[in-house]
Amino acid sequence: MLEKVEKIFREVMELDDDIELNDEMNSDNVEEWDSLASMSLVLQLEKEFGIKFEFDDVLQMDSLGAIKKVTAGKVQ
Amino acid sequence: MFGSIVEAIAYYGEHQGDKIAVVTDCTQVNYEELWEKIQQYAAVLSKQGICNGDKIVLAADYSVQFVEVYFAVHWLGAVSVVVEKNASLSSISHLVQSLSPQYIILNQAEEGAKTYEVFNVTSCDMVRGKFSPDSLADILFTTGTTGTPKGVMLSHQNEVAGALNVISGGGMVQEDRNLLTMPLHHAFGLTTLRAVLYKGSTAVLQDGVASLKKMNDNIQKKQCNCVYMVPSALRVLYFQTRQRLDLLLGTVEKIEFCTAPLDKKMRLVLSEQLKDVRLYNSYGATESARTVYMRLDQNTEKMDAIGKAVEGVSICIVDDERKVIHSSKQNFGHLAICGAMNMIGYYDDPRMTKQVLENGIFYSEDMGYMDEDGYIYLVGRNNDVINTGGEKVSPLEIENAALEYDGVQECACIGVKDPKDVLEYVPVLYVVREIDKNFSVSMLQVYLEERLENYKVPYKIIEVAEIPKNHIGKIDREKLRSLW
Repeated sequence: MLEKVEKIFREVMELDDDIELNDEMNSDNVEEWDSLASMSLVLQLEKEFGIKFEFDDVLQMDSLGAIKKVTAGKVQ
Repeated sequence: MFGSIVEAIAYYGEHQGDKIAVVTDCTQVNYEELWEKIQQYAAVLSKQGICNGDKIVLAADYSVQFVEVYFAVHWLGAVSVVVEKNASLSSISHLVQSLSPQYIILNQAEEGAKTYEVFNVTSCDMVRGKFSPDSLADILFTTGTTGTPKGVMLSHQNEVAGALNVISGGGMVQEDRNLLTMPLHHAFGLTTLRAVLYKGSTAVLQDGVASLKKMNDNIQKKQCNCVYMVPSALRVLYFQTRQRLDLLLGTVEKIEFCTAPLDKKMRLVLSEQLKDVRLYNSYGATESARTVYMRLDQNTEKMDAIGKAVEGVSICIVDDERKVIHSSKQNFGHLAICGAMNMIGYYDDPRMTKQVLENGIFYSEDMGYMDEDGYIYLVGRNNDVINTGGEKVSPLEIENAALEYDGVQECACIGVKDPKDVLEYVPVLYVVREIDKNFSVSMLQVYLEERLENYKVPYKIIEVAEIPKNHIGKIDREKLRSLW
């Protein structure tokens, strides 16, 4: 499941395969992470896993690590 | 009344030094600290030979240091030329070529430019350059219809007048904590920042709305009661909050939108979810800052209007010969705007200046009409500039970039409604292939992505057999729009 999250993250942020992902990645240190990418990420994750994020979930999704954690919590 | 924004900061530095002036993600300064730094940085620049009239290019990141250096330039009597935070020497080459700036400060180290690190060395030799309210303070580049960006020259007096428009139009008070979420290289961001500091209020700088958490923290923990944003940011937040804007913005007292009118759907959402929030839509141009204000929560019967001229500004509607007309929905004309915020002119372009400025009156390319109560209604732009997420994009700039790609014979760019309904409009490029040339739309897309800022890259490139033209061979953009 986490690999799928990372794959979506990589696609949305347009990160090449040779860029190593880490949980600290956020909108300050990933150039492509703008407001549209934030929207797209939420949308893609909901679609992929058939889940629905609430306001409090999106609020926490501030880094790749947090996105994985929130998504995992929802999927389970 | 102060003759310049920097003199207002100097006054507050001495009279309300403890008051917080600027807050960012990682730091904050009060007015005393801000004023001290401005003087120190002015001394650093002075030691490097910068004096009045010199032009300094500055990348507008969201740091306190940017604000300090920006006003240090003013204090020296020099001219600030603000560019976007990620600007590189190649992306601002047109500007460097036309201005020959004495100093360039970017975020990334590059040969031919400095970074903000040069200010890590401070100097104690306090200096003040020669400047008066009439002196040139800023040159801000804005996209023109010719495809070449125009340098809007603003004096200190123009900037004070623009600040006063924001203060009176939006009812800003000193106690406000103002959250600025828009780009600072844009007139909306810079004018708001200047207004906040002119008023002696507090500016909290936030780099866009990508992080809902950051925005929530700024409102809740940093207690921002006023929020400034472009309408497209509101639509992003509506999505991010899962259609519950009240959960994020329910505690603020005021929200101001600028750069484009807020659409009716979002107005309705706001009126339902944010009943106690003062909602403003302001209108202005880089050449003539924030001249019209509208209280969205109070004027529901005037939903289509952009508002009324603020105190000290007069607006009338004129025909193509610049004669005042009695306008109506059917008989609209150009907005002619009079007030002290009107620019000095376009840099090194008296011809273009004459086209829009006469006897201090700014003749806008926006067309509209005024009702009997003084409310102004926009009909459309008298040109083809594409307004995408608050950024103005010239179709000619995109076309010129595409024409440099081997295999493009001719092309034409138009703005179309954003299918995602986020950015108002997005550019679409129609291309005719050069005969016998290998050409791929996807390669052209990549080519443009490398050469243009993200928001200028066409949403779609469409290959066509020919570009429709009118009888004198000019591109028929209306016809293209009808093809979309």
